[in-house]
Amino acid sequence: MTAPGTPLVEARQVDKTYDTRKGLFGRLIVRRDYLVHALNSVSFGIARGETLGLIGESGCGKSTLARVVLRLQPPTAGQVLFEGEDITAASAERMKALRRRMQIIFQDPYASLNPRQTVEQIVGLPLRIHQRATRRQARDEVAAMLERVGLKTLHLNRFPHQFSGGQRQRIGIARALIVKPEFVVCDEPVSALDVSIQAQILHLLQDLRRDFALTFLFIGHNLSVVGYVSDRMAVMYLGEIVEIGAARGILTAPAHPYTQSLLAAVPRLDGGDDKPRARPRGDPASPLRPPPGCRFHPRCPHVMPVCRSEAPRPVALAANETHTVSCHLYRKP
Amino acid sequence: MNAGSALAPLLSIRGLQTQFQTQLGLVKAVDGVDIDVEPGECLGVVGESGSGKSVTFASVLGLVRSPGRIAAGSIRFDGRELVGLGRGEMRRIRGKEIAITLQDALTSLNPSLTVGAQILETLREHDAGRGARALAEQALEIMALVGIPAPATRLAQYPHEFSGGMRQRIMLAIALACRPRLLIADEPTSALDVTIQAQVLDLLASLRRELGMTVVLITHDLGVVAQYCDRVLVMYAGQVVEAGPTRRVIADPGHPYTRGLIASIPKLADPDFRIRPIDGNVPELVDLPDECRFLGRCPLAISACRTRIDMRDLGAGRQARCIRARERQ
Repeated sequence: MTAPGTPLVEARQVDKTYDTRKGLFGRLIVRRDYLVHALNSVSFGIARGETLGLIGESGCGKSTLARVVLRLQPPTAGQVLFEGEDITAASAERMKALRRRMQIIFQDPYASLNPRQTVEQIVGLPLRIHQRATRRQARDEVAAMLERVGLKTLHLNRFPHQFSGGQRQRIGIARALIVKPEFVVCDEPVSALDVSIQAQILHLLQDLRRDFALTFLFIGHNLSVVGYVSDRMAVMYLGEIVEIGAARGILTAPAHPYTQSLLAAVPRLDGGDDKPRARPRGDPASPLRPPPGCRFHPRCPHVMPVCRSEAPRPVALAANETHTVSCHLYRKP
Repeated sequence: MNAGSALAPLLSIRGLQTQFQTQLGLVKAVDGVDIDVEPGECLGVVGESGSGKSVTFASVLGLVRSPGRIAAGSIRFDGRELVGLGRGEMRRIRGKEIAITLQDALTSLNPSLTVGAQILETLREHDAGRGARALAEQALEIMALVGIPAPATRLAQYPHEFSGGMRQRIMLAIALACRPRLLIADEPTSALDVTIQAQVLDLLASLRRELGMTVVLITHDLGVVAQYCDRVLVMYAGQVVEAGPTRRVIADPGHPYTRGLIASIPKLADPDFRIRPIDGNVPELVDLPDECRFLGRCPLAISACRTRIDMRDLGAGRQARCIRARERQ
């Protein structure tokens, strides 16, 4: 048993860089910017039973983080802990045992299911790998899981192309949950779906989370969706977590200028107040060449001289110790 | 049908039927759509995949290709019938009078032509008489208008050298090149990040004011409509199911589908709001019976819904295709 208070999943100063040079010739050509700085010193913990929402725009490193947390990719530096155990150095055999306990639901229900396999084969495969189940045992379990996610036993022998986007996502969820994992990464699970179907899947995920006592890392770019499912939220910008805290606090009193501009940019159903709102200027910088100092400074409406040279460190807000923000505006004197 | 309006609509669609012959049967992608677009307004058209919102406006521009065809109906632009126009006549209207921007700027722009060449192409098509210098100056002006920094340098670059938001601005520049009277923006920001989406939509709103343009904004995002459109149409399974002033429709939806859509969206301002999804799926559009399309998913369905349902007037410029709409007013 692990000590009480140990997060189920923890990232400690995780860095991930990708080398974009290809082949021998690629390496011989001298270029300045060939490393993609996808993650920079990312740290967070997820308590058992908690949902941590991870929000950020395209290219901010959300999906890289998902892959590193599950050790589908090794981090360049730093550690990932599962129940207190450092999995960055775990053996292949140990990883296989751990993988049963950590699963992933992918964004694109069209690309993440094998088109040549039946639903029974797709959902049953993890069982056959992890529990050496026979075909017959697997079939019963798969059928039960399909019912649980809102599909039917008669779907067992069908192929993915016979299903709608929402139903395919249900198949993906069944595949992730069939081995009774404790931790599930949901990587933009509803982004490809229409609004009414999105709501069905969000509802289903909430039910499953409660019934199976799941811990979620829920990744998305839609603030209202991520805010809806999360207990705590982390906001990423260009490979760094710029703000992390209770979802309610982040949505009602965002501290980082980037979070503030994200919230201001969401079109509201109530039409908002018609006032021209502050927009971040320009586009995000390239992760090949992140800006010095604070990575958000070229777009920040509150930029100060220090922001251009010095990277801000995370500080806890005075009002709420569990809400931390990496911004010089909040630097303690 | 805005009874109080004295102006004739700029675009008037009546009984439009756009159909696709497929192996599975006849798909009625647009089935009896009536739409009036008033001059100067920004009309939002909302619907999920397969609702027919894009096909409706592709029909307006004569962009429906075989096996699709306009089977019935009339589309009048400024009093002129567009259905049945020849290719040459349609080309003179398309781009000059009515322009469209598409969702995916990367696949809609030609990757092997510079941005400048693509803007000039549109200008030349409609302003053949003008000199090269005058056209080039006009292209520069349009680039500046849509907020592209260093337009002279950027004109000589290729689409891949631009970010997603900048590419969407270039699509806008091409669409606006001939100062069309009607702009159809089909999901202009759905592929963009939220901060970039806000920049592009703000730009679209200010251009509309500056140029006095009429805009149809097609989107799946009710929030975008709430923020930018005066009036909204909600489409479902090939039909318009609700129409009215945006704020009123959102505050008090008349059709159960609109109500369901709104209840499906988590509210940022209200963390205690619990979403209530609509059960079921959109019906297949093949061989649909002549009854309410929302029947199978509707919490209010009764046996009287099993017949052809027309749009009903709810007063105050509002309409809904539901026999029980008034009960919930």
